[in-house]
Amino acid sequence: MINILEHVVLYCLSKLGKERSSSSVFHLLNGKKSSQTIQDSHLFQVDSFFNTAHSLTREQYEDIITKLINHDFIYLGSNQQIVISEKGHLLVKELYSTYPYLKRLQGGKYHNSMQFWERLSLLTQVCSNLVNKQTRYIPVQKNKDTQNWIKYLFATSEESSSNLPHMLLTELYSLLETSELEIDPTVLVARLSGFQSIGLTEMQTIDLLGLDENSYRFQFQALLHCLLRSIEMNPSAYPLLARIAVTDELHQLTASTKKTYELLTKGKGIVEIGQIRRLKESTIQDHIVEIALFIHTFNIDRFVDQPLQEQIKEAIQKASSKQLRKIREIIEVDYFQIRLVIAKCGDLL
Amino acid sequence: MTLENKLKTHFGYDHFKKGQREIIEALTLGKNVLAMLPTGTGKSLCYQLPAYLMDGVVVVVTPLLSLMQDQVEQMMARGEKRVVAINSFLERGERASVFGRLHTYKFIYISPEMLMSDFVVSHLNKLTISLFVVDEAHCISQWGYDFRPDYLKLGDIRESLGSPQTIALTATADQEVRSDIAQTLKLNEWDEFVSSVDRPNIKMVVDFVQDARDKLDKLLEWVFFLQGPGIIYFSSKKLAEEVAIMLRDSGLPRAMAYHGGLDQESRILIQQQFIKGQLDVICATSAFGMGINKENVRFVIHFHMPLQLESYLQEIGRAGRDGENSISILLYSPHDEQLPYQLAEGELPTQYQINWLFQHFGDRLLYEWEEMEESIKHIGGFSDTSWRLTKDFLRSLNNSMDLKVEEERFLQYIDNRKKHKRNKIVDMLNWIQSKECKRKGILSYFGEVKQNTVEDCCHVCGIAYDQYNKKSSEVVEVTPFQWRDYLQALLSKSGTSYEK
Repeated sequence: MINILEHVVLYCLSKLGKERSSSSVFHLLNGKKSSQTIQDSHLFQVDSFFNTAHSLTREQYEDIITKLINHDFIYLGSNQQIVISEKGHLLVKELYSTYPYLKRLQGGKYHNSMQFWERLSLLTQVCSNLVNKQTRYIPVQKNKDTQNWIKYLFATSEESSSNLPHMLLTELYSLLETSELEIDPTVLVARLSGFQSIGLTEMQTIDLLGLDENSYRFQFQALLHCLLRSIEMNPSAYPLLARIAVTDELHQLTASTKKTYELLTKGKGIVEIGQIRRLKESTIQDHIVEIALFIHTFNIDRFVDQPLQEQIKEAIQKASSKQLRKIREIIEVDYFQIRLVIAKCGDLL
Repeated sequence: MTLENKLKTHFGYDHFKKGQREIIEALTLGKNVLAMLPTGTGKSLCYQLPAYLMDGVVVVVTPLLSLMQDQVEQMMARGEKRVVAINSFLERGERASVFGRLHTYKFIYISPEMLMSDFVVSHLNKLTISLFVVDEAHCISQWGYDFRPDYLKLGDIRESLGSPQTIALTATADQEVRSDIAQTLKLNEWDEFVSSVDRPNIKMVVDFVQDARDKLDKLLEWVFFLQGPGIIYFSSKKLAEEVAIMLRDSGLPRAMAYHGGLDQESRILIQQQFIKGQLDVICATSAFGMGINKENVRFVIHFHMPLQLESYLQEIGRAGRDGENSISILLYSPHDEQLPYQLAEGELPTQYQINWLFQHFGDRLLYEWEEMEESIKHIGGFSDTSWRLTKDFLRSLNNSMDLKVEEERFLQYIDNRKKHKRNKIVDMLNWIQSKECKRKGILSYFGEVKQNTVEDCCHVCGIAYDQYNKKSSEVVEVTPFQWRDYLQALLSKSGTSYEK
């Protein structure tokens, strides 16, 4: 039998495989921040798996592919591209019914989930020590950004810091209670550290729950995504957690895209940016699509005017597919413009 | 204010440990100091306390990054925020801000490699350095264990900083190493404080077993017999993991492995779990222990023999810091020395690798190697340690040199290192196999004479093992984990400790 990770790989291959190389699934699960991976994941509707197996190595991935081939779930076509077998297709259909919690994954949207985890873990430790009036302890998160961020949180909080532990407790309770969960909150809570008790490591938690590594890791990510979603839907119910869930949107862009973004905000156009940066126009277009994906306030009107946006949305619905080719059969526009609209409004479609 | 007052205010202790006061007094009189204090006796306090009696900044050179990070965190944890670690982990952006406010720090921890930079030295020169601290000073001498070529340049750097008052600290250094240290640092006058390496409360046992299988059985016997908490040292990550699993499966749920292969979060958690008493046994590689202050470690077991008596002593020194009786067990089966020989060789480049390097790159070694570093290391199959050594050698080259001569010199140097390491292993092996008192043997290795009789001294002198037996087998109640209760215990005042 195949395990959950192999099952997920097969599923993603079935969604992207025909058009893309097999390594694009690796980059997807691994969370590689390249424009290509990010756009692919949105286009082929597998963005929920983005960055959900970040400890997966290349070798492990290759082993999974070999195993899928040996079990006849996939085979190599004439151009060495991966083809899903009939047996494979049957299995693909069973993914979500076998592992219902995978429906909770929203890796593309919440690919900063590990940052949220680090902040939550450190905040809990700080609060627990605060309650117990303990000032001498070793932080369990060493990442300087996370540490500085917690300091900043305390410095700028409107609440007096002595109220924060209680706030955190109430918010965590209600958040974990109300998330309509197939996932035991222990997955996360057991790993939290405090004044006298140090949290469990990932492996210890896996042992405690009697899970296998891969199921645990997907559950942990699914739970984080679930929490982030609940917070986003109802921020006023979780004022403290809503603050730690906030990310710097710019942070999510690849370095090169960030430069393009700076030039865009200075009013430069695509051609001009291409000249300044000595990059091809198509590359700048890739950057702009990535910006549209991540920066919520980014306005795409200057590249696709409003009426055209509406027409494209209609075409997408008619094509009932996000495959560019099919959409282009219906409406005569640039690929760039279609991608931009999908990036901007993809979730609504 | 008396020294005791300072001790109480800044560190929360009532009394000095043996040896600390004399060193601190010498420093307050403005003298240079070379001090050898065994592990676990509070070396860092010897320079941290005088710092509060001095106006300027204290610069601490320390070679091990993990140790530096630990020191800084522990100082922060006791409330000293004017402390910074300058090493290669510091990111570019952070670096600029650190150098911008360098004058606001009281303690600057720095790695030797960072001190090699003129930029860094010129910034330090703008400050008043009241004390220059060289930690792990045995690394200066190539006859000390863990020799760091970078350390050889510390004398020149000290001069370029205006030869500030200096203290060199080490846990293990024989006479030869100590004079090397003073010479390299260019100290004209200094006071030397040498404490005995003897820790009478740590009992020494070598347990001779038949073979690998028997060794594992004996290990389990010991672990189940001895009062914890304890540390078991292995030379292999894999075995450390396997034994930890074996212990958990056979009724010791609170056993965990610790090694460099774990992710950072897990390493911190396991360390802290051990310190807080949530774990009884750590199956570790030598990566574990440095900078860990746990007072009540009751046993240290060596599953593999260490590569030298110095590291053996460091590692057993993690037991009994509270002064209570503790026991160390070294398991030896015939031919165990083969593994240390292999490991020692792996730390050095081979003759074949050196020849390849010179033949293949020739003159380019003078200027281009840094750009090709990764690929040279990879293609040449250098281990991390062997590459570090080779790199230091390449850095010392310049174009007025005859490469043929230099290659020969390097080969000669490597050959000496190899002999040196082999001799250390032979010393270790002789000590293991010797029929005389173990304590006497170790003391004489460090040039000391065993003065007093020690109760339960070693297996040769005889030990009443019963007092090291587990006090009534405490049954740990395992209650099912309830996440609500756990959160409640973490975050509310009434919170009592929660047993997972």
